[in-house]
Amino acid sequence: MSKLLELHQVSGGYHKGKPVLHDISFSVNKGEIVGLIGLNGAGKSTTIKHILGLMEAQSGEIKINAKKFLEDPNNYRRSYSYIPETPILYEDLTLQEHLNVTAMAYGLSEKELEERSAALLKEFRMEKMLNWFPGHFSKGMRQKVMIMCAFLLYPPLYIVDEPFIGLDPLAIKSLLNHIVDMKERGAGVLMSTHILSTAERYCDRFIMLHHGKIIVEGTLEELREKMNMPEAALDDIYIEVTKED
Amino acid sequence: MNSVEELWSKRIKDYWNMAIRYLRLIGNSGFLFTIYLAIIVGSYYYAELLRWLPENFPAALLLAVITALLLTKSPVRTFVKEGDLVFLSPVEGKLANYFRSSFYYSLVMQGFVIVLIIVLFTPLYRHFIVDDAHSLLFIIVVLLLSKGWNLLSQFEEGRLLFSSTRTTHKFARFIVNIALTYLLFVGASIYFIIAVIVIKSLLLIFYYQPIKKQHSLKWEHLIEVEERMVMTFYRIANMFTDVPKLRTKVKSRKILSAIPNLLSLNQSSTFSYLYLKSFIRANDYFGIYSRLMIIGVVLLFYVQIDFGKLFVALLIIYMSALQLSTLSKHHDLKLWIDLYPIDQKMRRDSFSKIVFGLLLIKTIVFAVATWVATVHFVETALVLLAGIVMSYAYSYFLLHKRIS
Repeated sequence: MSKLLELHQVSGGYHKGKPVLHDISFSVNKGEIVGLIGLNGAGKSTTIKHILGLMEAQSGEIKINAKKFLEDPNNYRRSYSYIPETPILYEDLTLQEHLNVTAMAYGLSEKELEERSAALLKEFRMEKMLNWFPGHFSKGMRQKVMIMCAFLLYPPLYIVDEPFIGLDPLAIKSLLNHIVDMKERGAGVLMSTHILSTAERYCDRFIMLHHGKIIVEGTLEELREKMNMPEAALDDIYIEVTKED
Repeated sequence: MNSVEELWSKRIKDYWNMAIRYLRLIGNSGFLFTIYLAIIVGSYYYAELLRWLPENFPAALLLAVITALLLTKSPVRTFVKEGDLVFLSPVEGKLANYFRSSFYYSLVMQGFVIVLIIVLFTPLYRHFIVDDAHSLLFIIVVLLLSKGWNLLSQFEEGRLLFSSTRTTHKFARFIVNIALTYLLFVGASIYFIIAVIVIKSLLLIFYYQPIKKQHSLKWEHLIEVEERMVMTFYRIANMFTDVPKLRTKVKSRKILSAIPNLLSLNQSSTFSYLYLKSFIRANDYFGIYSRLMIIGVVLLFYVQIDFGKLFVALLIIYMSALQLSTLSKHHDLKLWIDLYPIDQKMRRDSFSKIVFGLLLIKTIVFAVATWVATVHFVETALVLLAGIVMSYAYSYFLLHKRIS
């Protein structure tokens, strides 16, 4: 398996001399779903901001397809799509126009836009809301707009930050189906979440962050072995890992 | 414990810190210059207007209606915030001083507006009613007293359950107010005026005091009133600069907003599409743009001074340009524009193109208006050429200097 996303000893944060992330190293391969697990404030979102190219690492390096952000920013940006933790929408664009802008920005053809958006709208039952403005959307609908925009693109990497909050059960199912679908097409997925039971079922590997450090990583089997907790669920392992303080 | 007073002074300080920042922006935007101009031109036409109005012009009635409206609209500025619904409402009983401060504050601010309006109408008053300043002083005193009454009444009306009952009360208050102001401006005997003041006092004691006892404060209503007042301020500030809190106001404008759909779905038109849609729908960009256009056309028809038309056209185009420059920051808080695989340069170029296009349209409209008004080739050509040069210079050079 080849490495799609690679973080090598990344430290970084918002203030000089006060890094939030300490020596983070991990990778996401093609065709795998990696769960990024951690308490509030563990550094998950900061890690994701670094990967997106919104923050620059103070030391260490981040590569997607063996290329760093600064080598070719536009190509780097094109290689992932991102679902943010809280929906960020253009309040003055309708749902249809959100899809249009996304398609335009990433250079999709009109045919691709039409086919993909029709399927997504049907799947997430948003066909009737095509001409609605975000002001009329519920929290879950706003999140669906984000999901549809992300899956309109077929990049090699998906970065998904806590996507389940506010979604109805059918939408959660659809989202997970899509993630699995993309994985089977060979894409890599980095997913941050607090819903550990879901993570346990869908992720191939886990990275557990605590106070900006990786405290343990591996497949569920490996985690059980490392913690000496056979049969344990991800929840229990996580609680055990963060226990000492 | 005087923490309630402290809270009030902190709130008012926060508000004015914010307001002064905006007022400074307004002052720097060339607005004051426009005001000077309006005052100079206005005072000339004011004198003309007075001379032109017929002898039997109902000046007293006009003044009575205007002041009655000013009196009736008396929202108390409370500076309450949404969180107060949870945190302040439990100590409602201890807030008497807080609301008293709010009352005096509102009295001073709204009283100032009344005085200003009276000053503005003094020439009219002296021309049509009595040529004497003492009677005006008396009028101002009575109006300020009455303002206090209206503020107290409207505050208590806020306790009522339904907005429809509040509206009927407001209407009733208008009737009482206009009775008073009409008597004032026609110079009725002082006994009539005293009679109305007595009626108002009786109402306050025997009608509004019981309301206070029977009904609780309606916090949601208070917050709504407060927000509406802040929004009015924001909306005014928004004509000169970008107010982030107003960005979410969206009008759908179905037909107009179909125009950007004519752009091809290329990566290169992403930002043009985005900016055009926002221009048409958000933040009243379009409203101000078209209002300035209408004002410009009207002025082009009426201004007869040499080079006056050229000056008007350029002034309005420049004002429009200033206003459009705020559109560039419209999406800055949206993460997406930083994630799109598109160069910064393309974003800037798209924006210049949009602004230039919009200013060009305005220039052409002004040129056509000049032609229709004068049928003078040189003057029309001058407006057209100078407009194009200025639009181009602003969109491609000055604009980016201003933004950065």
